[in-house]
Amino acid sequence: MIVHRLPICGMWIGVALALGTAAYAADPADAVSQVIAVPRYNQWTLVDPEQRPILKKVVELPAAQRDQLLRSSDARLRGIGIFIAEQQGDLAALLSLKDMLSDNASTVPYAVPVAQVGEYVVRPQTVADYLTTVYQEWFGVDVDKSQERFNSLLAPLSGQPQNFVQPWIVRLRRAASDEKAVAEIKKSIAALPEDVRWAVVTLGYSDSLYSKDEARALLGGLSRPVQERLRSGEELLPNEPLLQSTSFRAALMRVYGELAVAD
Amino acid sequence: MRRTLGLALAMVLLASAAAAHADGRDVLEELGPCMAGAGLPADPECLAAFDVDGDGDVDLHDFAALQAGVDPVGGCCFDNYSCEILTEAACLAAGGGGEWLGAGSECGQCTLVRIRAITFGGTGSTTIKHDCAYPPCSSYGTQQWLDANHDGDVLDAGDHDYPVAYVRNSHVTLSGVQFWVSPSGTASGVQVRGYGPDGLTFTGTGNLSGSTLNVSGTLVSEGTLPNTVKYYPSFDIVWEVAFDGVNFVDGGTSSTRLYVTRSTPLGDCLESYFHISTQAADGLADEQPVIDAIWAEFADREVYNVDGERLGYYRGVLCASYCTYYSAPELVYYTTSQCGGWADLLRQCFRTQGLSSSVFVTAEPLSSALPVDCGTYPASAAGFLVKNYSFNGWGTSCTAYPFSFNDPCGYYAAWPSPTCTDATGLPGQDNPNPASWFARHFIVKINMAYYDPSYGAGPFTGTQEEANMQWELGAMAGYFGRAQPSPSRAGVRKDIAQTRETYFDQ
Repeated sequence: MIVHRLPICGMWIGVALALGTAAYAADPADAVSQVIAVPRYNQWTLVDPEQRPILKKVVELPAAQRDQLLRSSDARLRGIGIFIAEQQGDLAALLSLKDMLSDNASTVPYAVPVAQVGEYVVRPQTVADYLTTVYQEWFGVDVDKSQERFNSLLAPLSGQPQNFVQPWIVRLRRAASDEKAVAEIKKSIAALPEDVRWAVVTLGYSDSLYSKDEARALLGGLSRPVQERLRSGEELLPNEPLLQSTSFRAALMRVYGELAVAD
Repeated sequence: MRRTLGLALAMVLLASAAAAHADGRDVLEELGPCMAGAGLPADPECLAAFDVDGDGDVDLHDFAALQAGVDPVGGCCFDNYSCEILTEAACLAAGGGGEWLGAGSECGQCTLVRIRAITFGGTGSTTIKHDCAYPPCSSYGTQQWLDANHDGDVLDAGDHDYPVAYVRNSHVTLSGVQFWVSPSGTASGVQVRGYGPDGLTFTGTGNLSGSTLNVSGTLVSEGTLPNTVKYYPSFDIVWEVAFDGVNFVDGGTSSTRLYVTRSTPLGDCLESYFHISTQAADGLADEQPVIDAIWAEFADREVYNVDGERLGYYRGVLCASYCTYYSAPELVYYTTSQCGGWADLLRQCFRTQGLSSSVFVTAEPLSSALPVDCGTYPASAAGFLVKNYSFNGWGTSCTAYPFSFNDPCGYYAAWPSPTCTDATGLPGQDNPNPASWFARHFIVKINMAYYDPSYGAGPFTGTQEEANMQWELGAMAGYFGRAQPSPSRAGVRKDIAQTRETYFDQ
């Protein structure tokens, strides 16, 4: 087991340096451990975008350079490639990485979630584990390092990732401090097919990404037949794996009911 | 008088004869009432039945003659593992290596059969892994039942009893079923059957070679496991074997820990995850009741690993840095961890039941709701204090963080007389006063509800911000930052009720 601790300031400096290297230097290898060694489970979102220029640079990395990393024979470089694709929210790129779900041998470093002040603990994580976490974040489903599960859960929908519910929630959450970006994302959501739109708005309200007034207005803007079907309790849901959970569907319908009743 | 004496003598003789020849008891007892004695008239039916010497009466001569003709019976075991109840003479005369086991013996005594090995598998099964701190952990492996010395238990060196898991409503499939047989021999087409719990039965045939009876192929249960989560501390299968295809003899009993899960398990599949979640949700099938039942196991703050060891939250330490266990595997192995380990354990219990939509949530101070501190480079709160704390007058000159505070790790320089001090509570898992000075905290979200397994608190519902507020009201005592630049000392501000000063990341 590899465990070491990094002072938080040093880590951020390291990450910043690493990103610069990863994005623009000929050999990004020096940056790999620091770039991956950030808190997992979405802890990036706890840092204000204005205070994490590293993320802005990641998003700007050209796809060709990113894909070069993804094709590398070096696991650490593949890890950083996944990280960049994840930060860029490139769903098609992420979905194309399913072969890496079988890579239980290569490891990349990640920061264990720890409670104490001023410390991070870094440990190895398999590429398969890392990619599983990324898919859970973006698509809300647990592929459990299994290509078979990926094929049953995500592959059928790979052709239309824009119609997944969860990615819109992730985009809104990550853009939370950027009003302009949030407005653009919400504009895109308003143009989604109605069966996706109502679910995104309802889930977004539950996640405090829409105010109650916003949510009611958007749900009120659905066509009358769709509203009637939803009010009658019909689960008008996109055919995506997150919504195959009966208890999740029930929770979503309950929130919709609360908003609709209050309307 | 003569007749009376004769009858009394006959009864004494009959009693001794019955004791000596238990199998002839019935015949001789029937003879007793017929004994009228020499020269006395006899019942025609008695004469027909018992006048062995043909002298026109039924007397002691007839008794002796009859007694000599009643041979006891017992089990007669043949080389082909068949058996009949015969007299000794008939057994020897029957050929086939017949061995007579003695008067009153049964066929079941001919051979000794013991279940020796079983491998569980088939569709719906999952391989369980040993608890270990740092996955990948080793699998328990096959031959989940192995009685190597065939003494009827799996307690000896070389024996083992491994746990097995199936998804609900699955058939149980067995392979490598093997018996130990004595005496050794050779036989084919041996009938085997097993009776498991809840009406599950197994049937098959096997071949005996030497002292090992190997059952061919796989045995798929007739009937399925319950269509609910279920924990069998001992999934007993009572085995029987018939070498002649007719007379079944005891084959021993195999006993295995068997977990029936709601859906196909996800994740590392450590046994403690099965143990906690399956026991908690026993008898349930629908998603939300299973979630609720697993949560109830955490909510009472009394959680045990598969070895029966209670799991704790920061057991024995007040400084978070002193507890270096952060994950579910570490928690079930070392029996204590930080909040990250508890959140991970709750998620792993959900995943073990195939519930895949839980997420790991980070809680931190909400910088936009908290004032900057009084350090050299002013910043928002660096972390929070979880209840309970005592506040006894301001002790700093920093109005934003006015209560002087000495952290338990010595991260900041100490105040001579701090005014904010730790008090007992909020109780955590197996700990009335766990560490409570943190930069962040980790909880779990599933189906839009939030659960804090470290403290058994929740679920918190409503919108994310509403749930966040509920959690904060129950947990937060205050927030800390730098109260002075040099030496850097900590100050604390109290939590303001109904004002959200923390943040859930999702």
